[in-house]
Amino acid sequence: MSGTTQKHTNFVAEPMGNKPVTELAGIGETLGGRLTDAGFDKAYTVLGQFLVLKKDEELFKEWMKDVCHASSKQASDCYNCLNDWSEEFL
Amino acid sequence: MSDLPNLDSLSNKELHAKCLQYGLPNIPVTDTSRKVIQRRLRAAMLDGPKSSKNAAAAKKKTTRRETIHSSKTTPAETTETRVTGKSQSRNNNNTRQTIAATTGNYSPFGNTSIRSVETTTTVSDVGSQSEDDDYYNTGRNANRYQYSLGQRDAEELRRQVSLGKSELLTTSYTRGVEGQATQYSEEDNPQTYTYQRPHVTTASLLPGHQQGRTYSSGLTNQNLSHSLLNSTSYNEDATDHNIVEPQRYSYNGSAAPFQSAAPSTSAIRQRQTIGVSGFGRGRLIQPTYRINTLYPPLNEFYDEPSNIGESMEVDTDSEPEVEAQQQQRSYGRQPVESPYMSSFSRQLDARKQSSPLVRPQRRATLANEELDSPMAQLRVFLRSLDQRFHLKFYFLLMLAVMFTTLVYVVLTP
Repeated sequence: MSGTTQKHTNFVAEPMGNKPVTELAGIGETLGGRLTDAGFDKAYTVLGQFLVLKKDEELFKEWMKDVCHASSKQASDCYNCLNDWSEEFL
Repeated sequence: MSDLPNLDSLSNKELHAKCLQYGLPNIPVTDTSRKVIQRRLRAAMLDGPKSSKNAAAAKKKTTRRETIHSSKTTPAETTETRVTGKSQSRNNNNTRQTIAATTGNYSPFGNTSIRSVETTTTVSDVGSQSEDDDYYNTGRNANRYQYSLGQRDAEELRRQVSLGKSELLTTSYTRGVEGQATQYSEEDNPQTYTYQRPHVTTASLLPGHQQGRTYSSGLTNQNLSHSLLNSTSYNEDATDHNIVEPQRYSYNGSAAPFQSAAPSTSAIRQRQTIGVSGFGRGRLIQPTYRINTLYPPLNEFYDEPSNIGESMEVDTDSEPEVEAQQQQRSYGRQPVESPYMSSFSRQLDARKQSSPLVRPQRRATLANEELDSPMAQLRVFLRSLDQRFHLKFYFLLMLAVMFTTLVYVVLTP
């Protein structure tokens, strides 16, 4: 909320390329494993879902909770990370 | 309601149409987003098929975001001047800061605790002030100073309050300082009393006496004060009575005329240094009866320069005995009793004979009987030599050395 994490800053600082999904803010090894199991192994796939949901925060958070059982904070961090990245590079 | 069980059997296109029907946002339905959209559609179907409601709900959601944004913006409005770069968490405190801002308006920097004391705000305000000062000291206070410089008239009340605080502070501090100052002055005064009063008195009284002295013309007042401080009795008198000092100085100055009579006053001066009181002054005249100005015949009798000078210069340690012997000798040569002596002087002589100092007189009287024989004269001569050069000591020392050398020679093979 108040401050951004170093992970968030690093992700937003450059194009994501082929970064793994665990590079996203709020996504650790556990959630990354679940997302990988669900077919979202790369960060750009999650970005695709983020864009499919038209950057809708609630839908994206619900999707995150549904897919990888993320907490509200984790979903929010991931959403903010992708939102800031998209504002920067899209 | 009847459509709810059919959502799972619907295709993505049908589900998308249902979403549009219930006013949900136009989101493509994919396999990955199907579940989420089904939930949203189900929730929308339970509320009712009104797209407006869903739109309102969506607006509410956006309003929640707007509230967040408003929370970002509204404190910026209230604290435009003071807050330039803040984080959201600090903005959360702004709700309290608006309260604290009223109290903290009349506060520039570091008087936080004082402000908290005098302002009638709550304790939470104090905490907020401290937090504010912790976080926003630099920018906020600078902005406040600018603001106060720009609107002095509007802030007179604030400044008055702050001045009142500062006055209270200064008064209390000055009280503390004054108390310390008085304490220090009280502590310092006795020292200055003891050391400075003699300075003052000597500066006022001494110059006349110093001119009379030959040796103290180059002395400064400090030296005199030091010399005076050496004697504690003088300090006490100096603090009590300043009138006593000139008498003592006059006494010290009166010692100057006696410098001419060097041999007789050398011993007497030592006694003066021991006792600085005026009582020693009488001892100058009394001790030997030679200086008896009342009886000129006696003075003529005692004016034998050879006896007095030699006895005083020879040996100061055996001075009283020598003096007594010489007196006795002089008494023995000529009868002391003269018609000019008063009964008081005779009594003094009697006391002097009875005193232990007068014991050599009896010897002298015994010796006077044998003075006629040459052996007696030789004894007297040897005795005088012994007294002058310690012949016995050197003789015994020579004997001891000879004996030791003899023993050494005998014992060593």
